[in-house]
Amino acid sequence: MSTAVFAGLSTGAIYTLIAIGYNVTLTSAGVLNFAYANTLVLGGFIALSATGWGLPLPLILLTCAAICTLVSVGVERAAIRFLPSGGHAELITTLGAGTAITAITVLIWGPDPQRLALYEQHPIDLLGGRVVPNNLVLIALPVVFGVGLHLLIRGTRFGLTSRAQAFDREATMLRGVNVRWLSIGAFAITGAFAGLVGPFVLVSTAASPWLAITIALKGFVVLALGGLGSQLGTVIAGFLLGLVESLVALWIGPFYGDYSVFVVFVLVLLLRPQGLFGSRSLRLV
Amino acid sequence: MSIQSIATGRARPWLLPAGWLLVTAVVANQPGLGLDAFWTRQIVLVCLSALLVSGLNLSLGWAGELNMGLPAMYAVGAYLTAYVSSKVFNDLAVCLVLSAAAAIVVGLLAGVPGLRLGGWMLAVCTFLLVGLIPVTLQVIPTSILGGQSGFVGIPRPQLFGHPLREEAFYAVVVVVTALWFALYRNAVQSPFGNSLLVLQHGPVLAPSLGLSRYRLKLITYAFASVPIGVAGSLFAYNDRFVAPESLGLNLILLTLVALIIAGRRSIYAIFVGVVVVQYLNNLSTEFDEWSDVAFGAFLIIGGLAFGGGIAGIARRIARRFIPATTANAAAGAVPHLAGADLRLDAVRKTFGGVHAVAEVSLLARAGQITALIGPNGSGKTTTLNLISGLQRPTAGRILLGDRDLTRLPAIQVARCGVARTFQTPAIPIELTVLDAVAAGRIQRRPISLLSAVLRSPKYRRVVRENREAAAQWLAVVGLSPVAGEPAAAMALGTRRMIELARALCADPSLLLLDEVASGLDRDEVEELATVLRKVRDAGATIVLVEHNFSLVQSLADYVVVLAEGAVLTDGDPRTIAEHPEVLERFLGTGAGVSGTTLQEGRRA
Repeated sequence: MSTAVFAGLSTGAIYTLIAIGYNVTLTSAGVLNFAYANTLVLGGFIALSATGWGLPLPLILLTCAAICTLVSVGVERAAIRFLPSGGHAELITTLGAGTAITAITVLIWGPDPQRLALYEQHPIDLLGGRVVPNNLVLIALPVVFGVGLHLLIRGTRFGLTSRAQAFDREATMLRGVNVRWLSIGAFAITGAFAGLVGPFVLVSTAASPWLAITIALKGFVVLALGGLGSQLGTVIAGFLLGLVESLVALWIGPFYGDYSVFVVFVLVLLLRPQGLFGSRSLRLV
Repeated sequence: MSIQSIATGRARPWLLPAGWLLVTAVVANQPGLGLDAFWTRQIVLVCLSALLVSGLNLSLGWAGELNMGLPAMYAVGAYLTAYVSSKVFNDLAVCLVLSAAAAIVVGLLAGVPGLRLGGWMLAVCTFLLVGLIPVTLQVIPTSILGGQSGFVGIPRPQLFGHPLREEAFYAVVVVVTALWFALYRNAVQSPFGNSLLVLQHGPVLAPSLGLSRYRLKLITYAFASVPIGVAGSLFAYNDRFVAPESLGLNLILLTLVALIIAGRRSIYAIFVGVVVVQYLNNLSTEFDEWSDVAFGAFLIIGGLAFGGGIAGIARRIARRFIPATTANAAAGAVPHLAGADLRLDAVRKTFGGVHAVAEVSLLARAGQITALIGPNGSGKTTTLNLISGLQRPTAGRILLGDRDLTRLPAIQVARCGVARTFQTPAIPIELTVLDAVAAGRIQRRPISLLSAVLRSPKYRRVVRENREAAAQWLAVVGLSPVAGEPAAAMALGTRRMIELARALCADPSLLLLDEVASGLDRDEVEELATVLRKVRDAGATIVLVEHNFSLVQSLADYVVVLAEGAVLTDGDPRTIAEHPEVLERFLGTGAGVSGTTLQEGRRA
């Protein structure tokens, strides 16, 4: 039971890390970036090579963050910058960017799952369950980053202009805010974020290039559950979803976890379309 | 050309069906074409992909929603056919119908909740379905669906008890595809398709024409599931093996790419798009690893330029060589309009703490033109929005005749006979002027998707009557010469007149006009005034929001002056023009000048 709770919390943490990334571009650039999950997985694979070079952990993470930032900004330049206004074309273009990123990952590292080890992993006993240290790190990450990004969005000029931009793009432009830089900034932040957390995610799962699709999907569900624009809601919703999935798999059967995610998502759409913690206003963006 | 000839449309209506029949007959005759096994398979695959692309195009191109659940519906069709044909009853027709029905059910499972919010919520909701395919195959015992290793042992297809040989099955695939495309073409080239174009214009226009966005999208979505289920069924029979690997994300990517090449809202060009993708796909087995990079890049480029595609290019060429139908009808007669008195009783609207409309009471009589004037920010447009149901009043009552409109949503208000125009003309893209005007009547004389698809006699009659009505109103506003031109490309003044004609085409009892004269030149304003007088004399109630006081003076029977969300004064135009406070506050000393120049900057 305790073991299942830890497992649920750490999968929930992975979903949350994905959803947080979506949320940043959504609030700051007004677009949903499908390619984010693919960038995150790419980050994990870069760590795989970096460990091979024998770099120390901080340097590995720094390398991943730097490369993923470049990739993410590249996605913004290629898939977002020239978008026609209106419509959901970003769903198609960022899906394309994501496909390309994963395809390149496969080209470089091959299609087969690999093992990524950043540090020693001995399971420890905690609160009547067993848990590997990396899962504890994973559980801590969304809390730290969620609060950090929450403060960034609430407390800085970048956050203020981002929220203004999401509320009314034209009016914000007229106030002299360079919304294009805002967009690049948001993509750079999510890129760095993806590079920092990607390695930890891939340590916990097998390092497979195709992982992106699965976690992207769950990330969307968390985003919808938590409510668009709410980083704290995302963190709570992510852990909740991970727990539900893990406990349903434990009690009912290993394959019903995915069904429970679908059911939860549909119920939230029907009963509380603004998400559990979301504000209604952002929904129209 | 007369009204009659504008309304009936294309000459030689038999040409298209005959041509399609001929193409189908030629392609379906495999021995006649002398196709070997390779080419037979290629054409079957093209047909299946074309079915998929048409389904995706219906939801993405026409309903404007990305449906990622396509592999799930396809899988349901394929697995149902595999199971039924090998274990229950082997008949191709039965399996096709069952698969289509099952695809609709599965589609609606994600569509009903997803479409309420639309956008990427639908994309995610349907995408989740795809994620459930492998899980479902593991949950269901392998003895039934074959689990992860796939379903083997699908029998050769039978039709009505007769086993189908290879060339006969091939012919069935071609004929089914051709038939579906005929139905698809009928569905989208009809008032139903036009209402989908109205839908694409945004959240405001459709309800104010009485069209339910959710319902239209849901119907389209269900309809779009049919070809996907059918394709799944044919796929199972063709390969006689179904494996979960063929039902993943790649399927949706390939379909999207083909759709982008073919073009949004394309019909026949879909086949071109499919052939191109198939060619690329056949090539890519040689350098497999790079193909996903290429497809990804293509999605980016295609998504940025997602528009006409091949269909768009073809349309542009066709427009150059085929002149649009034009007509010079004599000024049309205005039919009788059953107006009803509009009464606003202490209506109030607050946004947060701001009183947009503090308290407005007024009476607009049938057969009269009532003008609402006042400076920017005085609540004129808000009042119109409250009447037409786009916003709900905080307090007060709105009555049209005996009907209480107070809390009705815009759709219901429109169905009570309220038609309106907008400050910025809302003209959907891709419609001809005639169809844009006829869109005002779609709700009044609704046509079911089924009768549109089958082109039933009732459908033909309703469409003819609607187009005649539209042609008549076009003649009234003097736009008959441009009836066949694309409406959205017209000049501002023309678009205002198109909007007016569309509103009138609904046979409204109450007509709400929001600054209908702004941006018109002197001649156009004069023509507008003539039309509005005719409409008033035909019995309609007209409420006019206007800045041009000289127009108001010459046109209105009754004027209501708003200031800061409340009625300052009301009366006939002459009294208003001499009212000291009105003179001082809005009209300036030289009464009669356009009010537009006053306080222009205050509009929110």
